[in-house]
Amino acid sequence: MGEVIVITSGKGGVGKTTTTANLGAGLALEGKKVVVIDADIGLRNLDVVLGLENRIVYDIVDVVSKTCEPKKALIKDRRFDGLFLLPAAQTRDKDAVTEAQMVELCNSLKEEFDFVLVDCPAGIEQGFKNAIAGADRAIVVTTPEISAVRDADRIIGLLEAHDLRDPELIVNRIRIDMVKRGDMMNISDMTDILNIDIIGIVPDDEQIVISTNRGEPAVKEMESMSGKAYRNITKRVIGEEIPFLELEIQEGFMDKVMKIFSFRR
Amino acid sequence: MVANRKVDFKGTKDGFLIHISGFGTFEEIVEAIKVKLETADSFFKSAEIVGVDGFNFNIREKKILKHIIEKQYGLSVVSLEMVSRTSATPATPAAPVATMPKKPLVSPARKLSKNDDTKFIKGTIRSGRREEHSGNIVVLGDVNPGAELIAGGNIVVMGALRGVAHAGYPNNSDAFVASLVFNPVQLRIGEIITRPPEEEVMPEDPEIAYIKNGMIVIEPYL
Repeated sequence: MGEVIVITSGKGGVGKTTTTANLGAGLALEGKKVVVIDADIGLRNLDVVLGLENRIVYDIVDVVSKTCEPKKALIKDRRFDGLFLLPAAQTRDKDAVTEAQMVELCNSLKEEFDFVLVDCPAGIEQGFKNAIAGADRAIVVTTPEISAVRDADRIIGLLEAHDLRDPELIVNRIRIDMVKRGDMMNISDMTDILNIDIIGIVPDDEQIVISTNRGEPAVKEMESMSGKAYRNITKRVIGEEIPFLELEIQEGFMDKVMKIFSFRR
Repeated sequence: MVANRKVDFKGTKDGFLIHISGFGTFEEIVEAIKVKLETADSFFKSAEIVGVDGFNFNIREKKILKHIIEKQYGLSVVSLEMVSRTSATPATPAAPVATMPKKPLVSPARKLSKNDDTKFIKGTIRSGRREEHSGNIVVLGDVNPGAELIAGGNIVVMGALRGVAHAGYPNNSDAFVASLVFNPVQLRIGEIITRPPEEEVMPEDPEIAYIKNGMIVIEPYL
């Protein structure tokens, strides 16, 4: 029996989809059988980020309305053995799926897969309710901005109200240089307010923009800092103890320094 | 006799007074109060009744009325004592007493009764959550930005207060707000609203806010 994890944030544009894609790919690289579900019906993105857009035939609405078998709608990612995508419908809206249907879908998928990752839409309306309906566990993504942290706090409250206790936090797009200058919220500023366990810190990285546009998850790029961060998150999700978070920043920072030095030489 | 029958809720700085004029029996007054509270919907919710003007209830009637107002409509009754300035006869209804033109509108029972009911909340109160209570509120955790606490009495936060706190709702100016880390977005006590100064001062000591000379003052309490 697998586990259903919803990736959510409240605010849009903080990196839910990128996180879902990279975590999904990362778990597949670890040898797990994974399905990523795009619950953002009407505004689908996950297929694009994974570079699978041109292979969509059936989508989540077809599956829950029993137009087709779940197996037929799942798109197998050929680059990552064990990774499957269930795309959102682009021509429908959030009301095309109900919470009960999502629960049923998640329950049937977790029979076969080790992990079912649900990419939640922004907001707290029907799309959000659908996305969390079948989840066993939640990961909240935020960026070091007051507005994103505020929305994350609201989301954590709603998750707790739906009995999704102890969600875990990913801080995305942190810039160590700005934090050091005191121009950006640091990790403890965020954990002070949100008061939940942190499962990953992803640095702001040009590489992620490039890889997202190319439709290739950064997690497989050994050189990129964000790729490394996502590999660490993947390991923490499956329960491995990976060194402390502050060290990760330090390490990332030192990597950067080393790079500058090696350039100058 | 029937003309000018009226029940009104008049706000004073200590709470609401029930003004009654032109009624015959207790039952008629109760009916009129019910109608008034029903039409006002939740406007009076968690308001405090501090006295009655224009009618003198006996002990049994006070009990019945208090029960109805509190249990059916969610207000809190501090006193149903008659407070009319022209004929104040609180202790012995039958005996006519010399009129006291400047009798204070507040019953002494008020200050005590505020402390008798406290709601305890354990855990972090996150953005979007609103906690209301007619008595005191004690939070064992943080109150985050975007969360609201509204209490008829005092508010104590055993953690960081970063949201909005309204103590002494709607108009009890004796209430206070205290927390270990005092950093609210906005603070209201009774009818006074204040917000922290623009420049960021990180509070280090536990602080308390209360009304002094018509202004909210904040100071350490340790």
